[in-house]
Amino acid sequence: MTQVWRILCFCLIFIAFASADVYYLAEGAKNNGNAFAPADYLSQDIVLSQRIKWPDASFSWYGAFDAGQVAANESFYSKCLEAGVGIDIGNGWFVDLGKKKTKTGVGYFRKPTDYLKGGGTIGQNRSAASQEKVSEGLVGIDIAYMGEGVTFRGISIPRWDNDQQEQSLLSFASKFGDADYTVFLYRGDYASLGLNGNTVIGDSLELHMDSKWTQQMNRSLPSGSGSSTTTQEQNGVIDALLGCTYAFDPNTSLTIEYNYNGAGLEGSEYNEMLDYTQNYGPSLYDTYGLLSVAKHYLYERFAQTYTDCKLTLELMNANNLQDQSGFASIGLSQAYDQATVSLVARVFYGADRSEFGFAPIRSTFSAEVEMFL
Amino acid sequence: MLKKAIVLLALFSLGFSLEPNEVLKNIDGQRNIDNLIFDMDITAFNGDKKIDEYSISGFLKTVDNANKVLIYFTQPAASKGRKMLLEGNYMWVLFPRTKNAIRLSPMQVLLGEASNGDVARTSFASDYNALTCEGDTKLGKSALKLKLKAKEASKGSTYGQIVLWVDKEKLLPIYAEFYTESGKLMKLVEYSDNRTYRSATYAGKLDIHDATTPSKHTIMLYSKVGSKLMPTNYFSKEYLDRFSLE
Repeated sequence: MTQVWRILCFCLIFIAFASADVYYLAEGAKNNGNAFAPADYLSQDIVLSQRIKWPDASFSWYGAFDAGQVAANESFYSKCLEAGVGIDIGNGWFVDLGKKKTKTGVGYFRKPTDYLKGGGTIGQNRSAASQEKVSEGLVGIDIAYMGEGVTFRGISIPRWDNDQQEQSLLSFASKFGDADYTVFLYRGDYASLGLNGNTVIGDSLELHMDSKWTQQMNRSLPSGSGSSTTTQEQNGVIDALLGCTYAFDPNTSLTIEYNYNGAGLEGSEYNEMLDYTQNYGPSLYDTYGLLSVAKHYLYERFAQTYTDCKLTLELMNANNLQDQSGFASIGLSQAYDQATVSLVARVFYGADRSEFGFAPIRSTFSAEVEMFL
Repeated sequence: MLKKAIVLLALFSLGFSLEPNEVLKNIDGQRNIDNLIFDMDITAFNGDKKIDEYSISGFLKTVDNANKVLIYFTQPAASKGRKMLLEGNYMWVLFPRTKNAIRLSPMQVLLGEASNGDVARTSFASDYNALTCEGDTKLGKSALKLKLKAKEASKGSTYGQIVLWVDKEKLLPIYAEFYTESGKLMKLVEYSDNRTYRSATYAGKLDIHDATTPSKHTIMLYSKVGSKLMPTNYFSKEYLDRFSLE
């Protein structure tokens, strides 16, 4: 019944606001039914927004919806990504109420200061390019004051159900010379201080850093016998990313990032975790998540656009520096006025006993078509 | 402003040497529109072949002698909703359906041969000192030729030096050569299709040629120009997510 109601709402919204931005996304890929291979999708997303002027303020409502069918199990799904009201009170004050996606990090591969997480994850197996587009927002209130050169922001996400954590985030953003910086104070299932920023040197070099210090958090470690895991409390955990993007010319750039993941393992602890995974089989990714089990990671991305034919070549590599495993991908994206076609091939590499050596598959290939109507 | 230009012209005709920076201020004054809003079509060509085409809407505000510009892409459909903040070499872009604004270096131009400076520049005098001003002929027109050099405080400007030709009678730009600080010629710009909005006259069409690959050029065409007061604090990267044309 709930599903029928969702579909009905979706259709009504679509009919009522035909002027909305609509795009279709079809993605086909080898599907092994695990976290590494995206499922086959055919979906339709709608983004709506309307601003209503008021003498001293303006109100806008917004909504973004994603619906489609997962070919693997032929199930229909629909979800509301964002829906709410934004109020421009005037004098630099803004209030947003409702479901909203909020991203605050500045890293490319990882963003330690993207604090607000926890929205629904239907369709999370999509390619990296579309994953952010279909992620769900969180329901709460966002109050911002934008003064000249400074921005204060407070976000509160109440606890709506048992699966969700109450979260609050305060931030202050400003500039120091030519450098931007933002300071964060976060309270959720852990308390944390964050700092990110970036600057540009000369015509071609952009530098960025994204870091947080967490007062206390838990992590999994193999138990003494090595046949199970225990939870260990960790204090003063640092997660920091330092990166740069160098533009060789307007159409060619190289991004390199190093991530120190304080919650990760190294030395004997790391080896014990590999032994445990090799001997007892639970997925490292279920325990730690992707690119999270080790302390040191390096990422590289090279992109070149051939403007004459609107073709973009993208080479990416994510590397666990402790066991030299990782994944590399090559992507081609052809842009048209009304559509983009993307092809991505990804290879996982590393010794059998390594983070990505445990990956259940060695390669994926995905094709994605986006049409903008 | 036109009267002032005529007086300057008369003085110049009588052999009086003009203070170059005074001439430059008058050139800027001719074109100045407070709180400028505009719609612009940007088309990039390689020879005769059209390789890229964008339509943008922009809001420009001058604060402390610096131009701040908010840009919203309206065409093509694949780029619709892309937003940019330009403030000299301080540039941010927010792509449609994403939430993380990305800081760009000046090299990462997204508009064909047009740079951030080409879109945002309404004034030369704020960033450049005029070193010389002399009579010349350009594109078959009687012109004044000015040599401009970036001010010390504007060393981060897109170009270090500019040679600018303006119509001798109207003091409106007709041609410019843009150089790096080291003197390398980067771009050639032809200004045409002069139009009037209130008391200002501005070039409705800019044809920007790449100096190293002359076959590559980009045409910036103003399709609409107006004036609208926008709060200064909207010109920030934090506002990009809320920025819309409605």
